[in-house]
Amino acid sequence: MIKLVKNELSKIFHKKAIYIIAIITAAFTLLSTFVIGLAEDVDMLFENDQYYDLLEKQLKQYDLNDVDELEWYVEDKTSIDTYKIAKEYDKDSWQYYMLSTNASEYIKNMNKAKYIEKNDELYEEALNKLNEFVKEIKDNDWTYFVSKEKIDTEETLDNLKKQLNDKDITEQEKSSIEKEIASINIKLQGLNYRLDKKIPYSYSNASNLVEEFVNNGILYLGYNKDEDSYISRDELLEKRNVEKTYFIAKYKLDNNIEKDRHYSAGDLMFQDSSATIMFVVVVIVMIAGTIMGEELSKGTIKQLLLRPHKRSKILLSKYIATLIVFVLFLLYYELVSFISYGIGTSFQSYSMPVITYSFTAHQVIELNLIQGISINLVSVLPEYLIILTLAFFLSVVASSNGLAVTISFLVYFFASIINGLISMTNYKILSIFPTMCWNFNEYLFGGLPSYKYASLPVSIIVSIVTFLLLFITTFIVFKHKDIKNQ
Amino acid sequence: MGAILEVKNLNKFFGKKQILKNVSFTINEGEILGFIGPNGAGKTTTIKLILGLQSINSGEVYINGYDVTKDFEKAILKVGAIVENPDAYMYLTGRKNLELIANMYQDITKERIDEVIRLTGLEKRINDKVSKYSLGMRQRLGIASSLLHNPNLLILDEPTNGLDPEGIKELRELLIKLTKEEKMGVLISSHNLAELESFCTNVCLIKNGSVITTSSIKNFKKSDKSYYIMEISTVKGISKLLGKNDNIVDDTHIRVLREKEDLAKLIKDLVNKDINIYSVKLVEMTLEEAFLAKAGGNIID
Repeated sequence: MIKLVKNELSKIFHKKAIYIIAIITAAFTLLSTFVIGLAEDVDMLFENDQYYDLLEKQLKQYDLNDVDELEWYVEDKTSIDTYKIAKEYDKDSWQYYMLSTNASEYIKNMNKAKYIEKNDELYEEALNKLNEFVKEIKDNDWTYFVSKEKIDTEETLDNLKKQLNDKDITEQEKSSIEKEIASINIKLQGLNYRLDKKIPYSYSNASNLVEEFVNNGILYLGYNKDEDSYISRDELLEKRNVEKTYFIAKYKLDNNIEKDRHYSAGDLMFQDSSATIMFVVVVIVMIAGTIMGEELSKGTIKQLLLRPHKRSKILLSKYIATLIVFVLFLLYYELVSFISYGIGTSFQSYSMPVITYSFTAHQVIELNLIQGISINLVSVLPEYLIILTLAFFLSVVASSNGLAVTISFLVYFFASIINGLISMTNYKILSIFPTMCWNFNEYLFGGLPSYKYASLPVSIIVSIVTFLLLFITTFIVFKHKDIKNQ
Repeated sequence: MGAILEVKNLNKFFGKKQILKNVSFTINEGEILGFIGPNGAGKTTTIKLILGLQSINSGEVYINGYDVTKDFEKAILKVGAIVENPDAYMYLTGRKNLELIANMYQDITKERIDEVIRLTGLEKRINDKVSKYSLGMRQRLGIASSLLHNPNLLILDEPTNGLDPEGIKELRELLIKLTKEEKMGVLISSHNLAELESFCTNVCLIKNGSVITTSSIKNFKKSDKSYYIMEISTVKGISKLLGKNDNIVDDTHIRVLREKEDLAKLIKDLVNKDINIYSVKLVEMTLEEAFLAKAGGNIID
């Protein structure tokens, strides 16, 4: 048996096609990293001199007598003026962030007073406020602003606590005040994170993480923790999303993970949903769909069947060889991804753990890279195995490469469309459609499937039955197959 | 010692159409059986049934005493075969092809592979890719691959296809050597009768899925009907006495196909017509002539 499998592998690796696909895979994966890198920079493209020069030229074309156009004029002028003030500082600095987000309010008031209301007094007032703010930024450290916000927040908190002690308030008022206090506490905690972990306001990932923590924390307070009480699945999924984002942000802040970058290369590999994994499917289908089909159509199968081995053994050796190539290519694909994500972010970031959230334990879990990738791969393995076995089955039944490869690809590509259509229907029976069941990614870490009728045990059974049906039928068909005259 | 190959009453249907009707024959040690028939007669199908490549609807095949349907692995163990074409992996070298086949048996040594390469005269081209081979080269490779495991039954389906006269001569010598030295049995199919004449010890004729006759090549040629050249005084007025296969050669010669008794009757008739008979000569038939005589009509269509 081992000799037979070796024979098959030797045949596969003597073909050029597999090397060509390997090279294309590497090239494409690296290219997509590069393109994604460019796309991230696109956001910043608007924040440059050229853009504002262009905007300024456009400004002259507005008709200031038209009410609507006047308003647009004020909007555009405000953003130009804001940029002009902010660009005194470096784009990554806290000052740039503060000015571009907070100064625009004063500038807008100035422009409104000047062009719409034509009120010099209001204009002066707004200008003074702006100058004051600009001076404040110039004279102080970012901690000054955080501390100031902290003092304001604590004051609000104290006021609320006092209201709570008031004996005249109703129960309803009391609970609404309590909710507000909880929200304020989260906001306060966010400010404390900034001070403790030295995270200034900025466009940095660490700063975004604090925002994520505060925003989702406040949202999470509003959700009912009892999941059984949810009637709408969308609402439940939303709640879970908020819960996950909030706790992961908190965990990362607490443990000083990813202060510099929002995503580590490890995270990207763990969450890999890139289109390049398609190449693994290309290889699977190509090998599984031709390993029998080619021999049957070219007649070389006779060279195998005239030897002292059972047909089932010949077939099994080919199936095993296909599986081996599949695993090898998957490892190759992961290696290519590892390198390209490493280049895209940084190889150092692989030392960071992969963070995810378990809905069974309702807590954040830390995985190392190998664990993370393995778990993810295992969850998509049934899909790939079924595609592989389908291609194998078709090539034996139809004795044709083209048909086996084409149909298997169609099934793979249309599966998501079919699943989308099924998800829109209300027929529970459709939840046992094989393509609805073969991907277990959504179930990882206690996750909920997006389709309301889907369930883990049913999916497992359907996948096993589909696989066995294809696998066994292939062997039965091949055992009784007449090798047709050419 | 039993027969190497025993084929008993094979029947095969494709759908409702019966392709083979009670095909039977036997090959013993040292015999080369020429399996002759026109295209579509069922030669390749018979071979595929023998080799287990297609299912048998009814009948039995024994190779070295093993039933091919029940004991496939033992039955096929000492069989070497080329069916339809000398199939080889075009993208591999000749040697790699042989190595892949060697891997499918228990103990085929490197030395054995080299021996077979020498035997089939492939030494110079064995490390080239098969895609660069001519059909004749591929035929040789096919024979090499069917000899690797020292079979005692060799089945060759149209092996002379693509071979030049020199190649056919070599093949004949190789087969004769193998049958004598290795005590092999050989089944060789062809529609090229002239070629088989020099190959075979026995002949089996098949047409429309039925075996018409099986016999040793000597008996076959000396079959019941023979051609005779008769020298007579005149050919005038004898056309009524001549059959479909008879013809007038010239004014004083006719050529007739007759069984012995019929020949005697023809002589009597001629004498009764007052035609003098000067000589009657038996013509040694070629296999093709014998074939036509047996099967009648236009066989090679």
